[in-house]
Amino acid sequence: MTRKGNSLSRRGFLRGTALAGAAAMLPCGLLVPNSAEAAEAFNPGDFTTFRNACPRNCYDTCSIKTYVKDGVVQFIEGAQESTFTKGGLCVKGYSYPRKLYSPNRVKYPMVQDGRRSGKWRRVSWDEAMDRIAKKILELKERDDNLLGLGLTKYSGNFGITNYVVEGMMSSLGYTTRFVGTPCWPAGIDAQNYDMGNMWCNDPEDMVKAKYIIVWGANPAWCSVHTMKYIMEAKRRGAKVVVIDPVFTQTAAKGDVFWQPETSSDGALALGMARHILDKGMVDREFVNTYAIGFDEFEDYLRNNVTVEWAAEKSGIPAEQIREVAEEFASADPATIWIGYGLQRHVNGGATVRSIDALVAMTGNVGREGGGARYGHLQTWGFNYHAMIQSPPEGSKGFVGGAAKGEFDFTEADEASYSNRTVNINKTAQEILDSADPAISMLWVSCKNPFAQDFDRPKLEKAFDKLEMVVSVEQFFTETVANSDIVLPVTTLFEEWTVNVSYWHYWLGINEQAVKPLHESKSNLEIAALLSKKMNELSPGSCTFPQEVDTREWLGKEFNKASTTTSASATGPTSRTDRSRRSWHPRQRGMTTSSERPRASTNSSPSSAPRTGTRPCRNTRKGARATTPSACSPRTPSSAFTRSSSIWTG
Amino acid sequence: MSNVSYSDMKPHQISGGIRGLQFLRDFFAAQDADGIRAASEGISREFGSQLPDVVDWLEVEYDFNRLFVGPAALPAPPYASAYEDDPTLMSPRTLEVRNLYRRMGLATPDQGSIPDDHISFELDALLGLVALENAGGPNAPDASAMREWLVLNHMSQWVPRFITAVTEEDASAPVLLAIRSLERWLDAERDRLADTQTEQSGEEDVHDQKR
Repeated sequence: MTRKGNSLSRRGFLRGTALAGAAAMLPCGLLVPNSAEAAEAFNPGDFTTFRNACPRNCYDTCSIKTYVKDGVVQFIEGAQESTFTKGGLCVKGYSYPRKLYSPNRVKYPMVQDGRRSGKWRRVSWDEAMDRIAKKILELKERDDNLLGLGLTKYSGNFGITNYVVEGMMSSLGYTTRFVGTPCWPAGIDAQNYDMGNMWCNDPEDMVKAKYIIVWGANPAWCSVHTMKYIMEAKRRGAKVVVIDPVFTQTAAKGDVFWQPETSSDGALALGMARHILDKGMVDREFVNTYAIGFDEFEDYLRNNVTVEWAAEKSGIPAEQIREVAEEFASADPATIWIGYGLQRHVNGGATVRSIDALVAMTGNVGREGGGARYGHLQTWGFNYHAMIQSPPEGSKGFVGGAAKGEFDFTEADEASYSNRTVNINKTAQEILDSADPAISMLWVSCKNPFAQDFDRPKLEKAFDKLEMVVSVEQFFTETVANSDIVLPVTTLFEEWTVNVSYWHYWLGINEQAVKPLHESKSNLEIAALLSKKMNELSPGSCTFPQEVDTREWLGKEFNKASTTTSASATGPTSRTDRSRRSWHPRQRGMTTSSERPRASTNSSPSSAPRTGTRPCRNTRKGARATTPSACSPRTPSSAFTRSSSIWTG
Repeated sequence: MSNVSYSDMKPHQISGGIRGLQFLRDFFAAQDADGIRAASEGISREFGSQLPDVVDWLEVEYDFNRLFVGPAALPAPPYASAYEDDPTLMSPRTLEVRNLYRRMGLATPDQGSIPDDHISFELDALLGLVALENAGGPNAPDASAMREWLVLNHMSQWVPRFITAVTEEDASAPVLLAIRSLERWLDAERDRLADTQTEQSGEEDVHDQKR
């Protein structure tokens, strides 16, 4: 019954299901009614595609292709163009649209009347910002500085523009920052010390390895995209040894599985080193040309280490240690992937250094298909425009040097005041101990301290000491339950940003694919909104621009874009000068491919600047290094110096 | 149900009246205790059900947010697409009501942010259709068909599940009043449409659709 003279046809409404209805009437026993929708052929032209990037703290940092129709994300897939992502995502990745469209997202700014009470009221963004800004101004008035305002943020969203959270804090004044890393610092220090830089081989060159030891990592679960290179190397004849206290899915796919006692990995590595020494399999040319301290290391091994001792410590039979050590030393090239778990022990740094030494003494450092692979920050050479903001003129802060996190690439501050830094691994205790002024207000973003930080019971007590907690979240976490205000933040599909990996060498652009759901806003927009309110209540109290275009701000992370600062900035002009100073050295570093930007990790024990780049060496074994990743030993390896006394006695 | 003020309504008019529907819409769209209270009092009047003598409306707001708003996971999300086997918002279920609004010449404000199948939008569309139908004139037959589709093919698929989800919770009295009123309205509307269909039994549409 088509109704004429109007757009409406009742059949039109039912069109999609009309056939299915008829199919249900057919006397078929096995075939099931097909929906008209599923029967439609896939036509890419029906969709608009967008580039997204996985913001997770994960080796793989996937490039995502997002298909949008009717302003709705229909499905996503791994980008084919990235040889690393190679068209596939992990299960978590594929489920991102469900995260975007979950009915359980935090949808509106809300205020809780009493922590953990569950008594939430919806407020407008304006009211939320008003409450927050007034509290900030109250602290400033009371303490004569803003050190009572704390920020705890970690790796919940690795989109580079999310460093605006730190920038927003800086634009308010000097605040208290929870810095450090709960993740991988011992290994970073070890590798910086041993290699002069933590700079790992491109995982894609692992296919060229003839021998792979996956030591304390489970890529079958935790870096699924790297697995294909390991499996390809295996197909080409490489032997794969997996060392893990847990029998993992990766272990199941290996040729050899060692299940050592926890925290005995260093002993195991040293035992292998001793055997390689005894068998005369040391790459003398490498250690003489590129290393320092090998003689001392040799003495150390002879005087303190035996294969039997390593076997006793680790529970791995001496005979097996000898066998794998010999195979590793004779393979060309051979590589070890050092996972993060084994350095999370009191002897973690020494453990990584012992494995570094094993790779170096066999001449496998700095070689394609070789390497002591841990991670890198070499591709993180952005301007950090969003992060680098200046405090309002006249701001007072902490007097004395401040520590920084491993993802903080800014140059040292020349100002006499600085932020106050406290230990990210002692969130609860630092809040409880803080004084003059005490931390009274906490901003939590890209992090869920109640799930991820230590001292869970103490955290509740510590939070109860705070006068205001603001959580910026996508979902209701325990930290949100312990907050006064929650602000809904965008997912990867709803904002512009860019992502890079600490493992592979790809850069992933993240386009805004759809409108932010509900009332969510990006961290950039939240910063602008807070600045607007701050300046409304107290002109000049925040230097952050009050209007931002997130796409434009993404551009400012690259090259010279950061020189064009937003006209809407209301703060003192020194902000501009400072950011220009900051990007200059980095920008210079990015101009040539051979001179890659160096990410300064303040956690490096050797803080002397490392300048200049050596050409890649041609290895004795004839394999010419063709990728920058193979050039990692820019300074002589010191893998053998100062061996830890942890293994003696 | 004794609804004196609407006792002269014709059978095809709705339970609780147009104003009752308006208050239901406003209830689920409420943003604070004042909004919930105003809508609840309206629902109480129009559907002829009593609210308790003393109500702590702030507590009702907390309860309302716990059920329908957040920030925690919602026991009773007020979106059609949340009741599908794969509960994700902005599903084909959402887009079908967006299409209905489009045919009505309407759209949600800032389309793409708050899902189109939020119950308040759907009740709002219904209000428009009922009004058009009651007004008679050239649009009335289309409005009638759209209303029938919205109630039978769309809302009947999820509103009963939404109602069950709320009643399984220990919800506060005003919330339960709104939910019971919504249920009464939907039942009356479906009964009315079933009668209409019996009259039109020669036609080929809608009865294929599951209720």
